[in-house]
Amino acid sequence: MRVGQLDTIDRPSRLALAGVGILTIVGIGAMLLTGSSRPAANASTPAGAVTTYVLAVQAGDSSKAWAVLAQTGQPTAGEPPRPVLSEDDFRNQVQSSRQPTSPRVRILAVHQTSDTASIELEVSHASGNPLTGVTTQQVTVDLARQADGWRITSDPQPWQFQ
Amino acid sequence: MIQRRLYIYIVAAASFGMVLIGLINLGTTALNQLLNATPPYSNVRDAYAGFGAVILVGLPVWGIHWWLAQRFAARNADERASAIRRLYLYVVLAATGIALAIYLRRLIEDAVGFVLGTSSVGASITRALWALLVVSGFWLYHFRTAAIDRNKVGESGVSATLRRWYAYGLIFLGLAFLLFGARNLLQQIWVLLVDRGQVIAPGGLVPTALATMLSGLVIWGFHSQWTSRAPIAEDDQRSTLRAVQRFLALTGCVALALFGASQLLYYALARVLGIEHPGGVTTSILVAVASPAATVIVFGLAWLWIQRQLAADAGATEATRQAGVRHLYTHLVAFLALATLAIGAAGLLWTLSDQILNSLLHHPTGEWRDRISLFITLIAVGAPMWFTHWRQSPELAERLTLSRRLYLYATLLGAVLAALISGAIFVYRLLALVLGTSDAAGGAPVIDMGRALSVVLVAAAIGLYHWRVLRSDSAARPVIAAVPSVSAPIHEGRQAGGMVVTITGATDEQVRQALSKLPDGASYTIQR
Repeated sequence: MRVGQLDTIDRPSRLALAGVGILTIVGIGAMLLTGSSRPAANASTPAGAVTTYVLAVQAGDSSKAWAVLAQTGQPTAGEPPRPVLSEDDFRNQVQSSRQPTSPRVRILAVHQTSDTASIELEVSHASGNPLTGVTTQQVTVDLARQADGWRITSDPQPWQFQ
Repeated sequence: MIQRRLYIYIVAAASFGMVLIGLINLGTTALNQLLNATPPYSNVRDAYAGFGAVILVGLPVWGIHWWLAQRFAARNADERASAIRRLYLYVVLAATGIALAIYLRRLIEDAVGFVLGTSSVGASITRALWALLVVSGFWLYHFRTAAIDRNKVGESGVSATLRRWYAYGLIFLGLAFLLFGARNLLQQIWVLLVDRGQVIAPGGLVPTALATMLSGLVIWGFHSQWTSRAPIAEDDQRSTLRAVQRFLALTGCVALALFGASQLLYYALARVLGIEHPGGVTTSILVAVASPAATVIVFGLAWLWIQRQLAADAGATEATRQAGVRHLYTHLVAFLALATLAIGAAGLLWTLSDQILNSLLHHPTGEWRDRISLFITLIAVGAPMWFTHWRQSPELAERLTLSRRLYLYATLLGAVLAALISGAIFVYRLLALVLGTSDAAGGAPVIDMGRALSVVLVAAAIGLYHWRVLRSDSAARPVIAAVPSVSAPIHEGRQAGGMVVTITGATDEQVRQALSKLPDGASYTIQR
């Protein structure tokens, strides 16, 4: 079976090939750049705590994600109490909700006081919608400052980030 | 003979499906166990028993029937050339080709995700690789078998049509993967670069888009190169399926490029009018334009590219076909542009009517600038496209084309249906107002009547204009004149069962050249 050599491909097809090549390289480059510029994944800032949580959930590392959740069960004023969730339940949620393509998560806004913070996130999932290619939803994560750093106090809902 | 062929190839196709499904699933179950990955089946032994049984039954059945099919084909050229055999081959090729595209996409997605650190499921790469190996092995075997058949006994008539359905179907699928993948990838790159600091997890969107684009490139690239070479290229030059595939792709590209351009202009206009979140967009406008900008770039370029391909295809054929392809393209774009323009005009009138009537009825008017921006944008995109592609009074040859009549009747149908439905709504709400239904006091029927009237006005304007064009085209159609019955040669021609054609504006030589394409056995006489 012989299909053809590169020199016999017409000019528009060669341009298309070049476009695909450029997009591939730039896409991989953009992913690597993003990794180097995102907030540091540690609990010293609210954004860092949320980053740690989201990356751990997407990697299926339930122990690391669990460590960022506040264990006291004290809800933020005006918020409904968080459901009681054991570490095993949380691990099961993380393992059972894994999807082949994890969503992109962006910070839309950070509202912070001295001891509490609230972060608005935009979660974008790949979609079959031919017009947009993605579906987005907004998620708000509440945090509280504890002795060892910022911890998530709202319902963890790991499936939202998977 | 036909019954035997049908039996052999139906059983072969069914048992082949069993073998393929069994092999893929048995292998992935074994790989899951070897790599300690989470298996998709709760009981691994059940999976082994089930898929093992499917293979144990399917493999010998397929082996025996395929061996019989090959034996008969080797003995008899008619058997090898039969359409049923080609149907089996091209159905299997299409099924395995589609599966190949899906597994290739999954393999690239998992591999790129693994390399970039967005996916940590290494076992899924091995599973996709196994499935890809099985599917590509069977695809290659059947592709080679079809090529051998083609070389030995040729391929024409129904068999060639079946090959075209396979080839152009896969080209269309591959092109869709390629373009949507490229659009999604460009969109993701845009967001990552514009809003780098705010992305805390890039997720698997880039690997998914990359995988879709690359798998599309492989499928599209292979099949378009295959069909662009002799002898298939010559055979398919005048193929209707080839043209249909390109026109379908072109329609999609034009529609998506227009949609993207409308969105872009809409965001720009909305910002000019001071709307902070046009269309409910919550992120920065630079991020919001990523999707429409990527759509315009990718599908706009694809539009130009497919248009050139169509022109090149037509260039290799006679002038009539070239003109036909050009007219079909022009009328297709004009139709899509008119639809965009009509939606924009009706929407604009609808919004203005809402605004005016709500003010008169002292109702809250709500946000109107956002919708005005959107509908003005649709008009701004649709109107120039329509004016540059539509010609009211072209030369006679164009007036009589099928594509122009299709455009006119499709437009008339759309306009009449829209006017009919909106007219019914208008009358219904008018009666509600007259009879004083429960919501009449609040003025709701008046608002609805204003909206319905907006649609009726636009539909009526478009419908009337195109009806007049249709009438003018009909009037321009040449009347077939009665042939003088006194002419002796004409009388002789009729008696012999022939026909009489009157040609003006061509020399004897040109007429002889045109008539030289008549089939063998046909004869003609030229008389002045």
